[in-house]
Amino acid sequence: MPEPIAEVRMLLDAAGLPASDEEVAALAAHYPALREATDALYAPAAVRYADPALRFRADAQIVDWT
Amino acid sequence: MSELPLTLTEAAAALRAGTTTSRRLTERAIATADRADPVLGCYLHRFDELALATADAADAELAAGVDRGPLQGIPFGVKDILAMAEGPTTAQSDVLDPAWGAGRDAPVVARLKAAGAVITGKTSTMEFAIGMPDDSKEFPVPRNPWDPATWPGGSSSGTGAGVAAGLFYAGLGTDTGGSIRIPAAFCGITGLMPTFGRVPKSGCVPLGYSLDHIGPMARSAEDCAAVLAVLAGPHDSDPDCVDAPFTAPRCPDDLVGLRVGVVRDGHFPPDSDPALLDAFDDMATELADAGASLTPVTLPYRAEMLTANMLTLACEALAYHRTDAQRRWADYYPATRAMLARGALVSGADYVQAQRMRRVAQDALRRTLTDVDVLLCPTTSVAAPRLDAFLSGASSIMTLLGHIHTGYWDSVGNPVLALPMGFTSAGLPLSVQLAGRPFDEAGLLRVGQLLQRRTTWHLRQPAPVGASAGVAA
Repeated sequence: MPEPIAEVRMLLDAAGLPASDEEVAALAAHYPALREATDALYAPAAVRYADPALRFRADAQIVDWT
Repeated sequence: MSELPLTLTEAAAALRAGTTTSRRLTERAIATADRADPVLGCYLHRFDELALATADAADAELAAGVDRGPLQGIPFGVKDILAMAEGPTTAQSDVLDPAWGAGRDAPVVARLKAAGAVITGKTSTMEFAIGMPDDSKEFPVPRNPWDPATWPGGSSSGTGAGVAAGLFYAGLGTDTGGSIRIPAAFCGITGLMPTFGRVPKSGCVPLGYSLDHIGPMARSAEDCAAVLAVLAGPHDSDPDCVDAPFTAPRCPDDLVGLRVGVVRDGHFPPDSDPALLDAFDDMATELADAGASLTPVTLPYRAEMLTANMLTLACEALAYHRTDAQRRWADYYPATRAMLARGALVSGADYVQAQRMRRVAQDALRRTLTDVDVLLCPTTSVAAPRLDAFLSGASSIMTLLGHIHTGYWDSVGNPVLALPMGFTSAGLPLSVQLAGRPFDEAGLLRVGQLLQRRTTWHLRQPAPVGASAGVAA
């Protein structure tokens, strides 16, 4: 089994997603490019000490929308 | 059709001048849907009786001097991932729990109702706003009124096609990777993705919590401004939504003093439509002729923001869907499954890194937008693709990605206005984006209004579609 297929299968299994062999193969075909693009997010010098664009508020409440 | 107003703004003026009524506008909208929707697949649910009752109420109020503003009495479509009390919300999926949002209005829908809009129905999308055209389940496949053999774009497909075909004057779309601007582009209409946090997104089936935008799709920038003025404003249920006042701007006389950054890098791949470059240059020339100064600009961290958009969307969507996906995998469409699965292929650290990179890109773009006031770039570099390739499985969203230039803006959260800018040799619409500083929708809309005063692309209409028009899908 080519390595990307095995890795994709392992990751999907870990998430409990019952993808077919055909779906795994399709995802594996794009997986090296996905991994390369994702790794590139760590490369720019400007991101080394950047805070993430996440939100968290200590006083937040869940408010219904109606 | 030509005897009734073409734009929302014109229709609002006609209602107040007494030259038409909301009932006439609504009956025309219903008749157009009767003819065209069996081909176009814009609606998942229609509210004909409710719409006529709302129209009559609008006419009565206007006659009594009760003026709720320009949306009063205007036929309007709502994308079916937004909750509305009168009808089910399906998100074009067999998976969504019918109890979700049942009997309730999303805040934006409540605001439309309070403004007197005549909501004619819930419009089609792609499954959970991330699928692709697929005829394997019972939902309609949305088609483009400019050529029903082509895709209207997505995921706000039904809203885009419906505005273009005259089923309603305006509608709500949502945009997480381009889902307002892509159908606006392919259908030849105007679409506004507001600043992230301008419009409350509660009551919308989430796709990407940190990327979702709700915004207007209509024929003109002036129409979009009128809708945004109703939608904008904070709501306690959406912690991202801020209190930033918005008032629909007036069209300026010229653009003297406006600094426009013209973005070309990455937006004109070799297999772009042959008409794209000239159409884009013509729009840049219009801006210059109106007094604006033009400067070449490169978008900072473009590749990283495209990755961040896809990665963030996939991870946030998987978090929402994972329990259902584990149990009901086969009930999702294949394209939806493929996108959700991508969220499992990256790590938690990767997700956080994408959010760090978004912060860096936001800051770099902020600096870019101190040198220029707005940025100009194509929305897509091709026109609407044929549907048959998607329906046969020969094409997927991956084949289009290099031609779609919207996801960058969802990652950074700035407002973007997509405007028609011409046609291909096959008669399909092309579109340009104007992007601005956060919460400067008014600035974008001023520029858009002036461009649309100088051009007529937004007023072009496709030939009538449907049985009585003699046009088959």
